[in-house]
Amino acid sequence: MSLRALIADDEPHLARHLQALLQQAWPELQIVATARHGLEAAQQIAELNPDLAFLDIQMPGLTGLEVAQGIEGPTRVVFVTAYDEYAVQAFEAAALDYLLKPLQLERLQRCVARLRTSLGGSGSEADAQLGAALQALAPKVSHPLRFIRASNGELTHQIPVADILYFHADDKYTVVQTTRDEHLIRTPISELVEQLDPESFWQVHRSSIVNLQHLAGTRRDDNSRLFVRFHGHARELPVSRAYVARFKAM
Amino acid sequence: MNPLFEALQLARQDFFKLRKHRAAPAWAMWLLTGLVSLAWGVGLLALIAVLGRRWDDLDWLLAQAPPFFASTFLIGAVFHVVFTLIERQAPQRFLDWANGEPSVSVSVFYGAISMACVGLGLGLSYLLLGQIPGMEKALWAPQRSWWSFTLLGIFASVLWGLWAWQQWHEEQLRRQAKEAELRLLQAQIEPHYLFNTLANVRSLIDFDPPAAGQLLDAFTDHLRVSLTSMRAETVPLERELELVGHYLRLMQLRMGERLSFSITADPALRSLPVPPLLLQPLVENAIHHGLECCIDAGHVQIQAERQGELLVLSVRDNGVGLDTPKKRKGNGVATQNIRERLASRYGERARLLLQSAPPRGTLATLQIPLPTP
Repeated sequence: MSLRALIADDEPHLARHLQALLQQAWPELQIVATARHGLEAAQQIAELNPDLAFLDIQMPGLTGLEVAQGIEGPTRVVFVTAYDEYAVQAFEAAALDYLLKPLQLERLQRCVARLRTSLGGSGSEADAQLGAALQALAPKVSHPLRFIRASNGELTHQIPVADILYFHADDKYTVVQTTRDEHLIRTPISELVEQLDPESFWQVHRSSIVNLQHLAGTRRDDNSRLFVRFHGHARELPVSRAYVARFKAM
Repeated sequence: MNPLFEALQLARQDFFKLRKHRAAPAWAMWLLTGLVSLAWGVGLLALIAVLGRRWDDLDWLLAQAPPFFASTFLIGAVFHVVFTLIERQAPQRFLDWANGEPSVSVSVFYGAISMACVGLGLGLSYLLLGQIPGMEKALWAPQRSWWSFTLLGIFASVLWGLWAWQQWHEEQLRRQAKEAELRLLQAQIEPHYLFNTLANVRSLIDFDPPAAGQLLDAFTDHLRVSLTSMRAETVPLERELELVGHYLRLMQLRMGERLSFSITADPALRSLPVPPLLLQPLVENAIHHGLECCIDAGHVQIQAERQGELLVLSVRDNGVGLDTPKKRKGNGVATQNIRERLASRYGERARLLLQSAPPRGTLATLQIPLPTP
């Protein structure tokens, strides 16, 4: 069975170059899509479920890192970057595969050789590596929020963070789900992560942060996708591949 | 206490310089004038007491103090009114001259004005105080000290001139060092830009060698102009436009049809000297705004025109605008850097404005005073 891959880069010449080099280094790899920005990449990965995604980090729409945070299926990620000091340090530390631009055939061949051997395995090790790298790149929170303020018409609500089950991105808003109610706020998930206590609030997906205190457990579906469940609440939230390893360690 | 203190702090800024616009409220300026006059009064009274060997005569001091301080306050008030009038009425060009290098003519200007103010103040205090009953008992009468005040005035102007000249030179050195540092920061090549450009050249070598050549040419031109500009205090406007032109051409080769741009400048302005590398960071910002979140085509429009006594350079993009939360951190650094450079070189006369440009996008405007012929 031939492997399928996606390439995401906002600069057309660079996407084409990677594709050409991959054809040389890995002829049986089939490039099924080339995305021109982060949103397109996230959408195509969800639709096509490719085995591999080569993601440029600095892209419009969503960054490569954000795209990776949203992958629920089995797609393996290889980051491509021109220069991201901290990201590269984190990839090194987590032994994650990454490519540097300008691409060099010899390095790509080495990367391909590693991917070939590891793609045969269960993939859980790669997920753990990606998780560790994203964890290392997560912002450090110095003064965690104790309340979230949400306004509803003329009323404003002061919500203690301890009462919150989860935050979930919903189009333009972020849903704040408490034990009793649902509120809408405008602060995006990426900013909330920077303000919540990482001991109790875990990001489990690009679009959700959950409160561990309210977690009832997890569920795995037929496609081996992982979901988190909450006490006294029906909705389950998907966990992206990168964060699955955190739940295994629990 | 705090608002008062803050207002005084504001008033203290450039108190001894001529400024058309002041951050501090008028009452704070008056209060500070009062305090300065009081300080002068105390100092002069002490000097007179020492010279007249009366410093241990408390009765004498108490008798002298009220008319003496009244006179210094009056002189202070005259100074305040005269200099405020000069600030308001004189053309900016004159104020620049007076605030600039303290040459002999500037010192003479300040000396003459100061002596006139002291004279007017003394005359006023004689008119007002001389007729107040009981004042005749005072040993100190303004008209007796006329000559000593004149001499003191000349002495003070010469001292002031020397001190101001020294200060001015130190400030020039500090300013030049700071300016060089900021310019160096702005000339730094962003690693992302560098490696992505090289990656594009590398890719085009295989697919489209002529395009690789064009890209490399644009990159070389951009590097060369930016390196030469970095070392110059000023460059002709033409050079600055050329620099951003190379940069935009390069980005266009990289981004393809996603980026378009236009540069328009009044030919008469092309040779005007401007501080180097002011436009480049604004264009970089425009590219990031214009192409960062907008997936569709971005346009950058650069314009140089003359508006009265100002050279106005504007960079407009059709990107996300200022209201959307920024994804790229550190955007403010470049604009802060530009503002500091403008302030150290032109004071209040130059400005950088960032505003939303309807229907969407951002408009950055640089206003620089035209050089005096």
